[in-house]
Amino acid sequence: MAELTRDLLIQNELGLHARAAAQLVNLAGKHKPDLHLRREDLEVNGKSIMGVLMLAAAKGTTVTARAVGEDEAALRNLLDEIERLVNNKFGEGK
Amino acid sequence: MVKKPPAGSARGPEDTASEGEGLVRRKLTGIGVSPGVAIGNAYLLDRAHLHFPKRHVTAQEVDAELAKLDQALAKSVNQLQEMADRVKGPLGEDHSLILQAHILMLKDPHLVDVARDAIRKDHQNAEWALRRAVATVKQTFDSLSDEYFRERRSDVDFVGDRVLRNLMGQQADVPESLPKDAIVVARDLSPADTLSLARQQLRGFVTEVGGPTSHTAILARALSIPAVVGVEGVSELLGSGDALIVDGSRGEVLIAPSRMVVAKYRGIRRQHELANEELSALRDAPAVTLDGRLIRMTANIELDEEIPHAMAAGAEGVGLYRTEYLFLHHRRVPTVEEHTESYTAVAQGMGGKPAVVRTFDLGGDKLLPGGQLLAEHSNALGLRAIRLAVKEPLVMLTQLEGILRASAHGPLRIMLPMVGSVEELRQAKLMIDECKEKLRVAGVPFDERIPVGMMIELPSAVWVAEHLAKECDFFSIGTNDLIQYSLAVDRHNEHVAHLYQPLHPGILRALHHTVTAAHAAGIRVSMCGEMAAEAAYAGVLLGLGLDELSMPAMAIPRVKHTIRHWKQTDAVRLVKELLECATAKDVEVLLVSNQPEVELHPMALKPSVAPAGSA
Repeated sequence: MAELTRDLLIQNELGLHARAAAQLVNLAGKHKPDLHLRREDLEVNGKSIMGVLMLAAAKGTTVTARAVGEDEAALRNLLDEIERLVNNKFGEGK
Repeated sequence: MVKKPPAGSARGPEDTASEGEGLVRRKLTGIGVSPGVAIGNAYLLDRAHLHFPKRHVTAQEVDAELAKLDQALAKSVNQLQEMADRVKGPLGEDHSLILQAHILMLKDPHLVDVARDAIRKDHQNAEWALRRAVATVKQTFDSLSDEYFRERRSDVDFVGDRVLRNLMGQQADVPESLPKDAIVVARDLSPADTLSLARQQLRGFVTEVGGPTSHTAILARALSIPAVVGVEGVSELLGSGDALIVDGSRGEVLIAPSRMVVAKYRGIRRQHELANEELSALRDAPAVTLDGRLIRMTANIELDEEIPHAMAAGAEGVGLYRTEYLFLHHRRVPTVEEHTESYTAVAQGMGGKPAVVRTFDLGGDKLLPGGQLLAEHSNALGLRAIRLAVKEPLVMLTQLEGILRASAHGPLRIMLPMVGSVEELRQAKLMIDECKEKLRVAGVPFDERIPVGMMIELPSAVWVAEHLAKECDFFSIGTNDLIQYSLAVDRHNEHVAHLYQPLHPGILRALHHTVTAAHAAGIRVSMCGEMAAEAAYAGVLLGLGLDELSMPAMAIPRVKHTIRHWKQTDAVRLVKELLECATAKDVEVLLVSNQPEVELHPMALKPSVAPAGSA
């Protein structure tokens, strides 16, 4: 079992609100590795929308993504795509 | 203000005749938000009080219950997916993502696994297990400190409710077609419900929550359907198919009316129709006095969907487009694109007639650091409207840019609320210049000469009106706030509500001062407060010299009709006398004795509010 972590800064105006969370969970669901997101003391399943919403991650908070799986390349790939979505501000404001 | 029930509305002897089986005949009162009479049958859209079976299942039944739950979940996912596929239009992507979020919730282990465990381990039936899972998730959301995220409880309810209905074999959505004569009765209507109802044939609305500016109320007015909101307990009392009458003018709901009462209301409904026909004949007639003074009649709107209705009522433009809905709808500060999109829809919908866009009148208590919005009511004496705009220039600049971009598509005007000093007006105008420069540099088209006006709603603005008039293009008097601030009366406070007097001589003098100052500087004055919508005050407003009256569209024909019975010379003479009155009572007596005979079907003037003092 391999594990990779990466810090993500939430930059979009609304934070990880319902629409953004839906995009993130949809993306994670397409990948095989497990994804966990942690903000302060709370870690949730990144493939669960309820979990992601419970993080209540507003703009300016940092969320740590932790990918767990067999194949390290797959982990990196997942984190890259998540990071791109977050840095693209979830397509808000274009 | 309280509307007096007209004679004959009290329960007559005919009401005692019993006809309904099991349904108790009674009258409920709420807030009438869209006038007219609807006679029909209740159609219950009840989200809150769903009763579900609760029982323990045997070990042999567990698998069947699990299968039942899975089926209901799958069915719910399909329904939402279909809805998401159907949503189109500019807001399509937004709506579709919300539906996607709901679909993900239906597949979420936080919900599904908890419900499955409750069936498997605790032998609860599927409905019970689901409700328990929903309650567990909601509890977790309850503990969040952030308002927006805490409010996701309602999304959990929304999906939970859908699954529960599917489990019980009930309709989960507003059906494609409602039964004939349907009057929709609900505790509250979700945005999704109201959207799909807008496309249906229905007779009326009754809801337990909501006020005159709730989405339901706005929709009902736009569709000219009678509606009463704020009727406590109504969804508990009624079942689908129960006979009822909705009187949107008086804010009354009559349950199980006798034949006699139905006959009486058919008569009232016919009178409304006749009055409306008479008034709509006035649509294309100008608002002109007998001696030839012309007044512009414009509409107050909140959504671009209201424009066709306003035009049909004879509006010559939009005198007040409130933009707060845009902020509250998004629950955050809208983006430039969202602003532009909304104002462009208005500019294009007006067919070349002008629309006055008022920049946001929100309180600072509603703006969170993340740009999210809180609560509903602004603090009257706090950081709101233009004061907030000066403190949070980005919010204002974003909105101004949206208005300017939209001004390329039709004549728009910018109106600044709550301006209390020349400095504030200058600061706001600097922001407009800044936006214009930005667009010029970017080569974006906009109306270079877009008129910029301000609301007169603070006493301080009244008394420096001479100076303000030199630096803006028009005034619009917001009487609701002007009266509140001048008389120091919160009219929602029952102990002082009687002191809220539009005809107070102090108010008349303030209005007179404002109009005189504006005209001396050569700018036009409009009035967009409730006072403008009151046919009984038309003579006073004429005499004061207002150039334009802006009001809810449905009030336009009535006020116009009254104006057409006044002589400007009489109105001017009357106002001269009114300005010398010592008390509101004196003003009222003088005004009533000088009202011209207004020949019209009696119903046409009925919805009018009684003059100050008598209410």
